[in-house]
Order: sequence, then structure tokens, then C-alpha cells
Amino acid sequence: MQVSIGGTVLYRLFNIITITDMVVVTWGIMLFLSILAYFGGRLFKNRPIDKPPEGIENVVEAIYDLISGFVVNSMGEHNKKYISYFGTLAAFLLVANLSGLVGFRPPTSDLHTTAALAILTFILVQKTAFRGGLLSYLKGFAEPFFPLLPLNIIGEVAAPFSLTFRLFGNLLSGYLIMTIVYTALVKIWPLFFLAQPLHFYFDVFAGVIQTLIFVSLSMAYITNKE
Amino acid sequence: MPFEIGPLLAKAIVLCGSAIGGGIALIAGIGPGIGEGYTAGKACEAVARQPESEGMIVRTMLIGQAVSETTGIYSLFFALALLFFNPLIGYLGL
Repeated sequence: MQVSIGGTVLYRLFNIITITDMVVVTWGIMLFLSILAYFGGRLFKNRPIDKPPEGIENVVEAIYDLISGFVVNSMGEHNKKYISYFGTLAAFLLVANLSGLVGFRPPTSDLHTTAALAILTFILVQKTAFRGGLLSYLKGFAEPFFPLLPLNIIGEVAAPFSLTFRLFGNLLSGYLIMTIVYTALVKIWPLFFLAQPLHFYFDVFAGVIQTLIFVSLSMAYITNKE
Repeated sequence: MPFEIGPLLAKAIVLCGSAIGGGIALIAGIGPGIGEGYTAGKACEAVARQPESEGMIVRTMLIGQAVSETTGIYSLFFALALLFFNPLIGYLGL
């Protein structure tokens, strides 16, 4: 069995940019989420503010309430600006992790996707730490006393790595186990239904938990730096 | 006639060592298993003592477990790398 950390290459653009099947699945997820967001947002355009929500508007409001409540609970009232970022992150991660249910390899089982998301969080964390100016930023590395400087730097750099590998390892191992089970059942294909309950653990449970953990850890890293 | 290791045998030895190393790397799964079980047990006690703050306890427990799971995930990644990407084959220079 051949396994790769980054999907199979479909097309090479100028020999620099490689388009893998994971990238195509990611585009599909982006399109799906964009359409949902467009139609969800259009409901609330030109809508009188005192009118009670009805029908599908309730669902959109419930999703927004869920995400904004989560962000405000974990990061505090003054960090409301992060609602859009973490809402997008959670929606993308959830759909990407659950895409194993419809037969795709989840894009989050690709090291490049998870690394990109972890780098986004890393940039946000550094930006938050830099808010007090260069001097206090550098002083933050010498806390609580100066000899801990190398340890602090290692800890700072290790955070995006652990975010990357946690998501990647969980999703890749789930995908590998499902592939192994299906490969074992190929000769006795009428028994394919035996593998279905495993999807519930490896795709639904692990996917939702990993989404929650990635988002909450990102929030925790950012609030730690305030 | 002195015994000579041919390229095929050398490759086989490297693959064999990689497979054994991958298996040994997964022993690291013991640590997160014990740690996460301990965390879940403590969370059970906390919920029994204060059932009204169950949501907060579960969320904190999950984050703590995710952090302590990191070592297990690292070992899993090393085992996967040793089994499927064979990084040591390149050192043979064949």
C-alpha cells in the first residue's frame, strides 16, 4: 500500500505549483462553504431588525450564536473580532474532516493543509504578542527569568508543529485504518457494511473532536499572549 | 569466499529495521493512554462533585487530553514515516 503525506499530483503548473487531488477537494469544500455563506447571508439582507426569525433563518442564527458564544466564552468579550476567523476555521475543518463520509480522502489528512492552518494561527499568536511593541515582545521570551530563553523559543516554535501533527496524525490514521479495512474486505465485498460503523468513530467522532480541539487550542494560544 | 551483502539484502535489512523501529515507536502510545485515562477519571470525579459545570469540565478535559496526546501523535507519525515513506533507504546510496 502506498501512502503519501500530500495526496497524488494531478497537474504541475510551471513546475513550481503542484495541484494534488487534496487541493481539488479543498476547492470543492471552499465552493460549498462559499455558496452556503452567500445564501445564508442573503437571508439577512434588507431584513427589518425587529422581525422575528422564521424557517431557515433560525438555523443560520443558531450556528452564528454557537460560534460567537464559543469565542466569547473562551476569549472574552473584547475579542469579538475573532468570531469571523474562528467561525470560518471551524466550518472548514468540520466539512473537511467529515468529507471522508462521502468517499474523499479528507484534505486535513494532508500535511500541507494542516501546516497552512497552523501557520495562520502562529501568525495570529505572534501578532497578538507583538501588540505591546518590540521591547515587550522580546521581554516575553525571557519570562519568568532570563535563563529560560531557549526553552521559551522552543516552546513558541513547537506550538504550530504540535497543532499540525495532531490534526494530521489523527485524520491520516483514521483514513489509513478505513483504507486497510476496505482493502481487507475487497474479496468479500458483500460484507462491506461491516466497515460502516467504523466511519462513525474515525470520521464523525474524531473529526468533530479534532475540529473542537484545533479551534480551542488556537484560541488558548492567542489569549495566553494577551 | 567472504560473505558479501548485496543490494537486495541491504534493502531488506533496512526495511526490516524500519518495520521493527515503527513497531517500537508505537510503544509511546502507553503514555498518552495512561495520561488521558487519568484525566478522564479526574473529570468524572469533578462532574460528580459539581454536575452544574459539566460543559466547562468536558471542554477543559478535551483540551488537556489533546495536549497530552501530542507525544502519541508524534510517535504515530514516526511509525508511519518508517513504514510507508522509508526515509532510511536513501542512506544506502544504491
